Amino acid sequence: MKTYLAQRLVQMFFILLGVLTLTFLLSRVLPGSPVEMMLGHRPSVEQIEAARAELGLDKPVAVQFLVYLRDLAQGDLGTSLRTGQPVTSDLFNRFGATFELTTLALTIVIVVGIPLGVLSAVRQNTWPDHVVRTTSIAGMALPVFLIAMLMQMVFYGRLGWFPLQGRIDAEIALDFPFAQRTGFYLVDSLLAGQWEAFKSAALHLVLPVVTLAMASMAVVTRITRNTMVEVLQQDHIRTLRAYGVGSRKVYYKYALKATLIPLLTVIGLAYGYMLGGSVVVEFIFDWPGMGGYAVGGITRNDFPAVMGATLLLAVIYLSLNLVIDLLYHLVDPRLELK
Amino acid sequence: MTTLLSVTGLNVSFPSIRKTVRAVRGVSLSLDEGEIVALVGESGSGKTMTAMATMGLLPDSAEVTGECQWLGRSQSLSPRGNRKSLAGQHAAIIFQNPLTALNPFFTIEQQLTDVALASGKVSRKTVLPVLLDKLSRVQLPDPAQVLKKYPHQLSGGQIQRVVIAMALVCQPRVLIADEPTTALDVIVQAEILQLLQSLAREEGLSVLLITHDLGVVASLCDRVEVMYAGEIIESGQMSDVLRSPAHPYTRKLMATVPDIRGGATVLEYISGQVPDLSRPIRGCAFKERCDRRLPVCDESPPVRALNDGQRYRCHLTSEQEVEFS
Repeated sequence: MKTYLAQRLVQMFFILLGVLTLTFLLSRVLPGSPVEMMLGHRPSVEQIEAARAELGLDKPVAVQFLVYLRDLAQGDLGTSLRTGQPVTSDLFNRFGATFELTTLALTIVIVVGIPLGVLSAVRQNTWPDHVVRTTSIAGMALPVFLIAMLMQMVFYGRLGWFPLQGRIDAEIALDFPFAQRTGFYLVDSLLAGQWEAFKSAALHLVLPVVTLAMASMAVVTRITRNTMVEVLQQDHIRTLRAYGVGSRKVYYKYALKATLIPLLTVIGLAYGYMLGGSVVVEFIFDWPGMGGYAVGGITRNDFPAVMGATLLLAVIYLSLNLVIDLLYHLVDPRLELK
Repeated sequence: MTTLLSVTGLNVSFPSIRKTVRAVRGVSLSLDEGEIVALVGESGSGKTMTAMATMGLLPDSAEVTGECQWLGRSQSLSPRGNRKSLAGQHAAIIFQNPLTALNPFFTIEQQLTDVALASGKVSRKTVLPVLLDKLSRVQLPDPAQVLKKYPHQLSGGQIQRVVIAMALVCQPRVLIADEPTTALDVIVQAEILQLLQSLAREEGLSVLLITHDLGVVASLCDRVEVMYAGEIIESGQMSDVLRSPAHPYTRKLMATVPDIRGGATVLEYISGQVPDLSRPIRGCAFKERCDRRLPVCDESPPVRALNDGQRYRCHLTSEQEVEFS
């Protein structure tokens, strides 16, 4: 177990180094430079030189990279050229927003999607199954932006149940301030005892979370159903049924565990997809998350921001993969850690 | 001697929109205490369906008629809601392939425990000694160790023993074994068959053995029921049926067994195919493949009895058979 973990961590380190090198090179090779952004219209040659020297862009690329790595080793990701803030604190704020959004969405996907899939498999080819299958196909086929806008039209426009966009009401955030400790507004507001702020944050979360959950839930439900249908036909399930073991135990204990391996894979993929691909949702709901930060960084040549965001996403993705792999071993006794 | 299981006029069919498959047609059989009865036939002859029907384990889509009695008490044959039935109290079934009969994600102990608790004959407190006892009865060394293992850590023979122990946990009087040795290698096969035999002798357990292997029948069984195309076409004491088969099908089936002393001969086989059970069968089901065919075979054959309770379903009398050969 320990050697396996050590191996995987070493592997992760080199992958991250690769990701960094590639992103760094790309940002330096592609046309456009942060200097133009900083200096505005028609700068003089002296101004450009001064700015390049200030940003360290006058040195050879290799040296720039080594400097970046040195700073990184000390936990310094540089300063964002756009916001003027250290990238680490920018990322902390942004990441909290994305993480809160995706974690809640994933929870919904698991808590609702898996039981729906089981129901669908158990009641194969009856009306609950047809309903679940049709909705999940619709969920997969509808583009996220369409779902998002429909949500806004109905639940904000018509019914007025939920706010249109943002993470929290600006006024409420001013009236009931709370310290950012975890980056999760729900948790932070509760810790600070600001009930009003919690309520506002929760209301703001509903529409983006549901939107983000929809697409992934459709996939998870379908995979759960199809794998479960297969498992239910297997001999070991027939054995238990023949001996009169109760349906609930057969379905949720014996059959579900046998479907967990493909399910874990899909959930892992879904989570990765949500983290990286929540850009559209973040954009439509004006959610101050990672996706927007990274895209904004790319269009403005904000090198440190892009590097930082890429690095963080890569770390999350790799850790997620590691966790899923470890879970495989927890689920399936036939696998051995190598 | 008490009759544990008796089945009369069992019919199993699977209706669908286009056609109805009649898998079992008018099967009657019985099983006495301590007896080992073989249900013999080729694939698709309806032996497994017959067993599943007596256990109430057919899928909901099956249509079942006939009568089934466990220890003299009638059991409904409808497949619905039948899983904790009389059959469940008196009989346990062992399925074909032991290697897939157990769930790979749970230990032997977890699975045996759930089965034992479901049988309603063991409480959670007393379950462990029961499991250990049954595992040692199927001659598994170190039962406590076996309980901790996952199926993939056991060999095929060991798993089959565990599966038999699983059946014993329910304290049945009848064991239905559906091709219990087909998936195992020959040496292990012999061991498992011996085990079944000693269980029958020592514990008074009756066994209904479903098989297509006449060698197994010869080494183990008291009586034989031969099935063809959903019907029982011959039945009787094992030695009678195997030594002097009366039905042309049984005779051909016996001829397909290669004789080790016979030297190099051409391997016998039965030409033709099993009739399509989704079409009505006129007269004898075997007539297309039979070399004793008579004009009368288009009519439904009678059941003829020989001495010692040997019965067969055929127009051919034993005198006619002598003329033929």
